[in-house]
Amino acid sequence: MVTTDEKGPLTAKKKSVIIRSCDGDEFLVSESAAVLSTSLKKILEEKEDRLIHLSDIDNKTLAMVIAYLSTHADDGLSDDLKRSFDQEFVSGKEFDVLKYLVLATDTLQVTCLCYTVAKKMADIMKNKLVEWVRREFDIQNDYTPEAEAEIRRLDAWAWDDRQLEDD
Amino acid sequence: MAEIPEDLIVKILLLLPALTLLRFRCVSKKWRDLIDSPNFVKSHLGRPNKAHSMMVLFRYDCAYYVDLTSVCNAIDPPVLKQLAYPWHGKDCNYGDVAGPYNGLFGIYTSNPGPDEVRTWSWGFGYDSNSDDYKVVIITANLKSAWDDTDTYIVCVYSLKSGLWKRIGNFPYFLADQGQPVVCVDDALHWKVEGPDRSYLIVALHLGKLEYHLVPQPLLKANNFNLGVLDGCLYAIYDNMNDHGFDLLVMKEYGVEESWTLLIASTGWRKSFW
Repeated sequence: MVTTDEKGPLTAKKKSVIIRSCDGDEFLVSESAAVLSTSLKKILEEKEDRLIHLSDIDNKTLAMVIAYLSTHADDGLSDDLKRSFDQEFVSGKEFDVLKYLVLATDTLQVTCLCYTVAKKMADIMKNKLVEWVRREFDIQNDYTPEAEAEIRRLDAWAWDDRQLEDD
Repeated sequence: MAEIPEDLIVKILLLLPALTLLRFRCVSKKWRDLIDSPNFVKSHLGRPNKAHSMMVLFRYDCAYYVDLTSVCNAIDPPVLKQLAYPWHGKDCNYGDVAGPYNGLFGIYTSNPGPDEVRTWSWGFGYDSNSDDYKVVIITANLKSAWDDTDTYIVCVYSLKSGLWKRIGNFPYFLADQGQPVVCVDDALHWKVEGPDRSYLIVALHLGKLEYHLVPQPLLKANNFNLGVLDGCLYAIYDNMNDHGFDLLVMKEYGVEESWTLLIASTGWRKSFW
């Protein structure tokens, strides 16, 4: 898997930008890949500076997003290959990793990847218990036990705990 | 880990099936309010790749459904899935299904009542003006003369208000008991018998709660059945001469000239309605 855009020779025609993560590491990215992110495109249009500092995206997440952008900016790859790359990209990833990815792609406005990640998250969540969801999203249960029991009773037919997972 | 903002949570929740969302109302009060909000419900129904065509089957105490979209696309073999519904496991071996309209089905299960009063027809549909779903029940008093339209008592239930309302009696003689009642353009449609034994299409507008006649294709006097195709009213006519049928679609609602012949079949017995 390509992690940065360094594999091809950087000609004068191929402008590149440097993106710095919140951990301080820097990534060299071709401009054609960077502008696939709507927010990066806006930043590049507004300022001459070729160094963009992203204060809320960590190394690991940024590397993944850049791999995605570089693959999608590669004119040599067919649409089919890009589509299978997208599927590979989210498969097997931990829910935690997906949370960081969905946040990063939302901030960077990479709409397609944001949707793919959100869809993967929804697929994982589909058969999870409510308790699992509260843990993963760090949500405090603000129902009284009576109120929660009442909600569960009203929609009892939607609850088939045998098929639900807690991990 | 930074908190995932609400608009992003909504994006993820929109990708979940309705049954999961019902459970996730339990996560917190905030999630419940998000899932219950009218905007969320609308977006969830309007999302792409939802199944448009479903067939629901009843067997003993269970209900099953087949997604006909997948059958037509021939991607996967059709799968019969069990339908979770509120009466699951209870003694309810008969159900009549209408819809879905915006993903919502109406299921009618018979309830024994007085012998002389019986449900003659029922319909379920969506009224876009008031953004409300309505159920219409037509009951007939069998002690009265059968051709007396005064005996067709019509009641309308509004899902929003939770109230029943009696409206003007059904003005025509219902041609078939148990015919499918279809909802198009905010109105329910029945095939009725007009004078001189011809067939007519009568509609009940779910907003105005008024009846009106819908123009039929020219030169068609035979028996027919109604249905909905891509949001348009269609009629399948018997073709008496050669055991075939004609399928016509009213492309523009209420416009007589817009009836278009879609399928003309000869030598086939129609096997569906």
